[in-house]
Amino acid sequence: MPLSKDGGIAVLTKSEKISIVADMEGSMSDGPHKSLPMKPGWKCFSEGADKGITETEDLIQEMVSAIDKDVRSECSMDLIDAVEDLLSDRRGQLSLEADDGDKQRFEDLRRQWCGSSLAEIFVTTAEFIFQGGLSGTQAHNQLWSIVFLERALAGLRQIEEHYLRRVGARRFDAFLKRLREVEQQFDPNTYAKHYSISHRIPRPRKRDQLEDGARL
Amino acid sequence: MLETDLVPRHGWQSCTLGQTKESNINFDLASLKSYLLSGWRDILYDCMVVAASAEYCDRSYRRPGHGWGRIFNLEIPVHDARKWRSPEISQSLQLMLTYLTGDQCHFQFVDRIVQACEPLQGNFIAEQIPAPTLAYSNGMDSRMVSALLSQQENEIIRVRLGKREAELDKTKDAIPFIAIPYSVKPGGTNLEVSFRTRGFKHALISGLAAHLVNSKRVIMPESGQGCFGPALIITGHAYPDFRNFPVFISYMERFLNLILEDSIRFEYPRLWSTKGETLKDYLQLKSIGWADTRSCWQSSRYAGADGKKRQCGICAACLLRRMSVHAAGQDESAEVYIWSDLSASTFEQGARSNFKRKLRVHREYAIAGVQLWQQFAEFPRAKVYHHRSKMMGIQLSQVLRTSSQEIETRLENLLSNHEEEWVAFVESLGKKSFIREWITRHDSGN
Repeated sequence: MPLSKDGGIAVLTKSEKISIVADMEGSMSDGPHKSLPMKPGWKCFSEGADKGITETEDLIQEMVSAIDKDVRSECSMDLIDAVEDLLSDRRGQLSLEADDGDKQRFEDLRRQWCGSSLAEIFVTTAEFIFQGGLSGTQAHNQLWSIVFLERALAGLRQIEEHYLRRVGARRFDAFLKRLREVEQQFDPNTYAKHYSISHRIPRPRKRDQLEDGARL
Repeated sequence: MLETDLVPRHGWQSCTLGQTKESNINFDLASLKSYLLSGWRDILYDCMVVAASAEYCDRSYRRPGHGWGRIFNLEIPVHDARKWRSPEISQSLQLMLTYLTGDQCHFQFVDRIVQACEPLQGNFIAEQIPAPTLAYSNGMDSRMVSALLSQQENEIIRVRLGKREAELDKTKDAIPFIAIPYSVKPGGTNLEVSFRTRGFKHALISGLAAHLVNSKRVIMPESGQGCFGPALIITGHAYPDFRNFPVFISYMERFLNLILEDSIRFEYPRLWSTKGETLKDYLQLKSIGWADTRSCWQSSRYAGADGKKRQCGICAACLLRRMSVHAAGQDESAEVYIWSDLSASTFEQGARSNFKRKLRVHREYAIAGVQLWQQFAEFPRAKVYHHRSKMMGIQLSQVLRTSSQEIETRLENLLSNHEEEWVAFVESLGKKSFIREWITRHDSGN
């Protein structure tokens, strides 16, 4: 049995044919790279959290506004319409078991439209809901609720990573506490219920007028 | 994609295909020969050209900073354009690539002007061995899994992922699958580093090998953390890394079987095991060691010290390795790593004292790596876990032909075992470790 230079690899297998396959160079699987630059909406949110002067509910509103912008930039209108159509009662063909035709429809959506993580989770979630037999308003609410929650957690992860890299311990700890408050108090159902791509979710109103007073 | 010295059409970027160093896609005839066990077949060559073209686009154009997906229109010369244009094949190729990369690739296949240059036939010794193929990278997973499987299989054909080495040319017998038979030189200078098409390349090469030896089986050596971690833990608007995720592999399987008219299956013997558990099982075999395997993907430029190429020790891949070695009760020499001391109180102090290139990028990779494994450990407590687990159950039950309930249970076990190994590893680093401090800060927000 031929042996490799280090005399070792040959004993790994009973095959002589592969006994001298050498080490590789350069094509290892890589781990996560540092996260991408924050989008403007998320930057506004993180600055608000960092300043520590914004109320948690305003921060949540800021975050939802950032997610709304993400949906607009990452999911095409055609994709959203196609998914809403599949989940609506109009088709009248919903069943607990998805057939090959249904599977094909979701694969077509994935093939044609999934150029972002948000679009990917949108289609995957829609397929999951479809297979669960939900339709109409219930399906709409669950779909957007999951999509909002997924993007919220991904966005919060990114912000945490950015701040851990850049700021000192004390500032980071205070900042992180605020992120956790947002995460815990965020109820995606509240926003999913009324969500429509045709109506923008506004950023929170600035509370800088005298009549705004101090918040309790 | 230009097979000869043609001028590209107006508005198109050219990518040249040939056997010279100047070509963007350069086929190494000696390595290619090792893929011609039963003679030249146009379709095998064309599959590699398609994978190389996708890689060229992927690496040549940077992703948008505030977005992810790009749109590519590719015109590729193949030997049988009619076959490639068939809706079933072109759509399965597009679905597989879109899902893997998050990019939209639109292919136009045209007939080649000239036949591709065939290498002379070799006298290969692995012809038609009905043995599974396994992509071999000298990483821990492929070393361990090939040893574990050799207990059950008579033969395992290891397919080498890398460049041809001079050492191999000196051997008496011709060796099949000695290297990926082509290299890609991206265009431009502003290159993209995420390189998601690597998953396509590796799965294709292993699949072609399985087809050639008529085994119909490809072994995926990756342990559970490598398959699920990068697919589940998404950060910001980055696209999930599906390279080892079974849904991507099922799309790849479908594409391969359509184009090759075969029935190849990919198998995941360690999908539900942590890397630490795989190492424990491997140690039972009393086989050769694991210490000389490499997990770090950093190049010598970033992971070289004292004139030696080392492993950085702090990227996600190195951290997974170190955690797994700890979980299996093994020790590893500090010499292996640049960041040899993870117990140090600061990141900078953890590196070898004579390592002068303490680049900011190392710290950023370290933070990203620690966050990945910490958040993977915490995943069962994340708000998204409930529906993610259910979704995973449904998605994977079709791919793995197992009940969704079983998938959910196995995923839960995998995550629980990962958490146990990760927590024990971090505790072993001592209270002052910079890694522990990062995690404590993360926890203090809860």
